Amino acid sequence: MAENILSKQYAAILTPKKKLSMERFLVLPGIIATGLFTQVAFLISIAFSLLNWNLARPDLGIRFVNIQNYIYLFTRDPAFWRVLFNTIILTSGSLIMCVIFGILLAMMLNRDFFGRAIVRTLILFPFFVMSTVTGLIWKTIMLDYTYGWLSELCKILPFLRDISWSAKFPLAAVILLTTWQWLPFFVLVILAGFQGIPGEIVEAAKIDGANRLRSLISIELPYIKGHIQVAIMLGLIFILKEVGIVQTLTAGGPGSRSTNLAYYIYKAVFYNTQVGRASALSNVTVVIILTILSFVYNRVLKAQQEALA
Amino acid sequence: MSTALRYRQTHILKKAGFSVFALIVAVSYAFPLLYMVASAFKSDYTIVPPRLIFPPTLDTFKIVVANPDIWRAFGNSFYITIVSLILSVALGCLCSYVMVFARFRKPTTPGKIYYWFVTCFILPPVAVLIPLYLFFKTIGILGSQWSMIYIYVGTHSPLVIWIMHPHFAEIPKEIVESADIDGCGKILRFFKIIFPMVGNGVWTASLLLFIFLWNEFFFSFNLTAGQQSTLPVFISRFGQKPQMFWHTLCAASVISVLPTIVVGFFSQRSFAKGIIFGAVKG
Repeated sequence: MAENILSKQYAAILTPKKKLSMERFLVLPGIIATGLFTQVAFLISIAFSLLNWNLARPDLGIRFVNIQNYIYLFTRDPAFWRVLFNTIILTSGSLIMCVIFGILLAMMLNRDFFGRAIVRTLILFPFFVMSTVTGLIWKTIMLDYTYGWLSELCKILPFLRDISWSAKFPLAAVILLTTWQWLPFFVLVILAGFQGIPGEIVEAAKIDGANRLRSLISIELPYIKGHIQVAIMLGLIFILKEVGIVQTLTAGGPGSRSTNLAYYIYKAVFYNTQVGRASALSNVTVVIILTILSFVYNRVLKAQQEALA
Repeated sequence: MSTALRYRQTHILKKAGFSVFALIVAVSYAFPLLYMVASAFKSDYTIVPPRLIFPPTLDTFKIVVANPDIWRAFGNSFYITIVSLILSVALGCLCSYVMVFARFRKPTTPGKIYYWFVTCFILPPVAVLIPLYLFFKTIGILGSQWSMIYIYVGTHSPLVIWIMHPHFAEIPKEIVESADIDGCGKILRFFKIIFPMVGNGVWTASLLLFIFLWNEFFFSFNLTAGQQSTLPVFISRFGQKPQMFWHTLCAASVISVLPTIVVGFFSQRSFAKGIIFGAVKG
């Protein structure tokens, strides 16, 4: 304690008091640019959500309707609950698949074998491909039920019937593609975690008689928990706003069976031209997303603090 | 044969076996992409049914390259990506630098600003789409290149700050102080001493941003159309064509994913490091 006070006094003597420099204002351009396109726009969107405003009918004018739009959304909107359910299934399904296969592939890449660089590059490629290309390529050359590779597979395996799988199970198809697209990102992050584990720890577990599975569950996975959480958090941010795959693979259909919230907002603005309702929808989406994210994010922060302590 | 040699042999055999397994996994995982590249060399006669062996031809590429629309979209994407990339990296570096090195009235202010930026990064883009759409429509620049650049700089600067802030915070304060004592000016200090030390982070942030901006679909899909559309929007319109379009789609896709594949190929390592560095030390 005494040393602490002493060192603080020394520090006060040794560091000369500097003036507040003007350079602290250089942070302002960044704050303005970011604030304008995120926070200010978001506040305006909240204001819009209280209006009845139809872009296609300027003669009706813009009226203040209080929380009518929200009530409409929760009680009368035909597709809202369906879309919300879809979004939850799509996001959690892809995240779970990404984590499981991400761990498996990262374990594979963490081993020493010939041609590792080629294998790693091949596994990384889908991440660099734009989502519209992913959607269209899978829709045509892979999943098409007359000329795609899936139909070839159906010829070899007789128990698979020759039907349009992406039309029969649209949500599953979207989950498959989202997983395919985001898996490399998870592999990268989890692999970095595996490579950060000190070799001695795994060696010691081996000497203590732990088999491969035991060492994975009790030692390696707890060690890379932080990496998995970071991957989930970033994956969540990006998967929740996924529209490219939905638009090109199924266009949200049939009906609204594969529509997620992000795509539904697009339809609300550009097909129904109801600014108020679309804003209400986007605000509800934001609340849902931020609730989930703050939950995950707090856990990440806590894990970080534990790691630092 | 000695046991050591036999052990060595079985070890190598095991390793080779695992290599074959890993290669099969990787090739089947990347199969849609590999077959997409192959299909770009097919003609409209050989594109269906799906076969791996076919007479390759460059005709499809010639058709796609002759179409001015793809080059217009490519140019739009390229211009928007590069300009927003430079602006957001510059802005993000400036903010991170100020938050780490400038003296504020309250010492807690920089930390608060940093968390504010992180929150902005987390805010989903659907939250801001409608006001931005109406705003750009009102002032008459909806879908123009600069409207996209404004949006991208505003929404992607927090990502740069998220990656760059830990890099700036890692610089030993003593180095900066000794530069001050030697009479180094503020601007010289930034470019000669601090900037070279965060060069790695700048590189990572730029590569990551290039990939995200090039592939960005949410805003460009909602805000650009027709001649102003970016490459992902251009590609998405292929699906609406009535006649057989698979071979031209594959060729156009190859052209549009080539820049990110090349950038991604050379940045594999720094890429993972950059993400982890920002997240785990943030």
